[in-house]
Amino acid sequence: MPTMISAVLLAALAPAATDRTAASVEVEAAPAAPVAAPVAAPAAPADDGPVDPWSSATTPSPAPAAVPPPAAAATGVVPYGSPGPARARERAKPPDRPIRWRFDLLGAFGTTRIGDVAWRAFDFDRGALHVSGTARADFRLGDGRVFLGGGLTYRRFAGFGSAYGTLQTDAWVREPLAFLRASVVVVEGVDVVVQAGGGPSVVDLGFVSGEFADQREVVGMIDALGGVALYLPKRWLPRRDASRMALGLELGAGYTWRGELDVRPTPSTDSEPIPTTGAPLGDLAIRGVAWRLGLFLRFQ
Amino acid sequence: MTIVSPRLLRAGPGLISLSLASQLSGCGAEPNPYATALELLPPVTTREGLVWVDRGHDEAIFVSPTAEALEVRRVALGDDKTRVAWSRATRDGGSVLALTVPESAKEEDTDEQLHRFAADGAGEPVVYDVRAPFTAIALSPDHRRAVLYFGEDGGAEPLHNANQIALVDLAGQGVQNVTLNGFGGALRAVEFPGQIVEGAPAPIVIAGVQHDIAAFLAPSEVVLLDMDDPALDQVAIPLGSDIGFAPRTTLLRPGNQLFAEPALFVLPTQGPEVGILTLLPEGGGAGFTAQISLIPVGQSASDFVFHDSAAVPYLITVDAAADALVFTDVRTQGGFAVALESQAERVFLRDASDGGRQAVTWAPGGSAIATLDLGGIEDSLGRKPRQLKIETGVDSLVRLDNDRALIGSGSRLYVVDFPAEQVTPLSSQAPYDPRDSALVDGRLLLGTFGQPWVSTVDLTTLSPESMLLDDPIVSFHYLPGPQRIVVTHADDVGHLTVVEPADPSRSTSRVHWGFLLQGALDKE
Repeated sequence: MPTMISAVLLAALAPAATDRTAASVEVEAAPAAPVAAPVAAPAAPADDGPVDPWSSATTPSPAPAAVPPPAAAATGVVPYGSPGPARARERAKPPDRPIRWRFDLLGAFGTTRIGDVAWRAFDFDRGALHVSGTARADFRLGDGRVFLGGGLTYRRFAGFGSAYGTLQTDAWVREPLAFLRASVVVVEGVDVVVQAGGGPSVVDLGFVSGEFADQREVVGMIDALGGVALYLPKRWLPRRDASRMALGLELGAGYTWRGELDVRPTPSTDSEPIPTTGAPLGDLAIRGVAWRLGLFLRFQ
Repeated sequence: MTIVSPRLLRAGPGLISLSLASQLSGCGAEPNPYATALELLPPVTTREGLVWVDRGHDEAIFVSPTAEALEVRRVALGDDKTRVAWSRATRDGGSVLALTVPESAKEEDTDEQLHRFAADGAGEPVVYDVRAPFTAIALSPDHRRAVLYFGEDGGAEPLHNANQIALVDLAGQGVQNVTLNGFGGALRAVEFPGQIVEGAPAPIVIAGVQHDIAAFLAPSEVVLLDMDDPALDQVAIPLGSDIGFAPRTTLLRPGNQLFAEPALFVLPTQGPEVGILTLLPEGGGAGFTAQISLIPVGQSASDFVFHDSAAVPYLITVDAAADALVFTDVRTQGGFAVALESQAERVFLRDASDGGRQAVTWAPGGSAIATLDLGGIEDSLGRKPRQLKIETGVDSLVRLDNDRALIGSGSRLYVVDFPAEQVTPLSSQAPYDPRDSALVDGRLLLGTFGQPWVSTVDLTTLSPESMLLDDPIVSFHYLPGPQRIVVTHADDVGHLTVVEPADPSRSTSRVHWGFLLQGALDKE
């Protein structure tokens, strides 16, 4: 583990790799014409090697070549179907944008394996499947490989079960989560991430037997995970270094702690009921090891 | 295991697919501690509370109401190799008895055991090895003993000794397993004929020796057993199968100056005769024997009591065919009949307001109850029965105390005041069962199955009041310890209402739900 941490630190503190040969100008040839006009096209990049996506230097575009004016330019009219003068268009590549910040929208699902056996009264297994949506942003730390940031997540999951063959149960957990996050770019397209956060966890429990009963509790929640994010490098994208969006996958695992619930449901009653009390059924701790797999859209 | 619950199906296809993925991850492989269903026997009532036996989890759940809450105690009862056959409270409500039997015939090393718990479940239970899966129990009115036996159904045993019994000492830890020495008849009922006063020992003195006699009734015979005798002296009396005398119940008259020897009266299931077994000392020992005689008591004897007038020891029988009371002098076996002019099948005695005794007769389906003062019964002029009309007929009768009785009759209840000879009808929208009642401090409290009412009748003013519950009643219980009425409602997780009998109202009542699962989530 220390070796791994050292490697991550070295990678994080090392200067970012630079490959300025990646600068290019894209030339788009005009459709073939009966009489091709000679066009002085710039040379294509000699090397399609790695691109430094966060390079702050921009490569100047070559000077435009002299192009003879089209024949129709005198009249300004080009008859439809008649062979016109050759024409070539050149579009300048947008300037490269170094990655200084990133903003992700992440949708994820995963499982929390809840350690408390009491959860089995609310679901048929201990693995609670959760789905979440996240908005997060981070910023490069200096010129290194480390990004620091944070975000907000809304996560929910549910359990459906029965206890003792007579009590139908359900549990809904809804929780907003604020977190801090650190990413280390190992190579472009591969980040190692860790994050930690917390927030309130709103737990709704439902019980159905001969009567209906329910309970809502808000408990504290702390969440920590680490994982890896895989995303499309800029050089794989159509606009290469100028790309402002990317897609990625993130796989993470960690532990989610939630405060213990004193389960004491309140039976539903008609209006003006006799004072009614639900029995204390015991404690429930919805906490355990969790993993998640997400797909994110990145703006950078 | 259910992969997808119906509720999850309603939650949406997205969640279904996600749940399936979760299930396929293999997380559900370990056993679910909440999968075993509750298997509850009906609650038994003790002095302190109600006790449910959960066969599914081998537990007895003791539920006692306190001022504002319920106290719930779970006690292990049996194990995986055993099953609770039945449970029962003792007559004084101070203990709970439960018999465990092997879960299946394959459990050959598991013995039948009777467990006795304190009313609140505290402490360790007393366990008796009773050696047979008995299906019935008789509890002595003096609260000292229980007799376990095979009832008429005999249980599920492929072969059992119909005359095997277990005598259980409820005050200690002793148990005696005995086979009755009869004449081949299978045991049908067990009675303690000498114990007339609840909670009081009533030894039968035969020639100066005390005996605690139990009567075991079989077709055409009676076996008497002295439970105080370490040798368990038995006396078997054939009653003549050729004349079709099948004993139904017994009644023991202690000896006194009018008739010195104790006499056991035996009422047949049908017929015009009553058996009299005169208990005599056995020659040369401390045991006893019985001398039998059959005496005619009219056309058909359906019930009996005994009564001593100033000079005559009477056996009083109800002649249901003639609607009459038949008085028989136990000494001479001579007597007379008094026509009641109303249907009669049952009889009981009460203390009359003039200090004498009074016989009260009634019959299910009859339209009147009759009373007959016994003060001057030897004088034919004093034999004047009186009728109290029950307009809509008698379905059932419950004695509330010496002076009052409650009669159920369809959707009406009648409160009968014997000293005042007054019958007060109480009408309701639905039938009341007078057996679901309690008399607390001059108030009659009623709560009948299926109704959402607990009703109160002040027996001084006969003013009824009803309190509406939030749910219909399944069972009605009076707990003398905490002095609370408890009515249960239909819900297997436990649902009941605790009612203050002194002031039954919605504001003083409390509803408790889910108590049978109390602490269930804390199981490891």
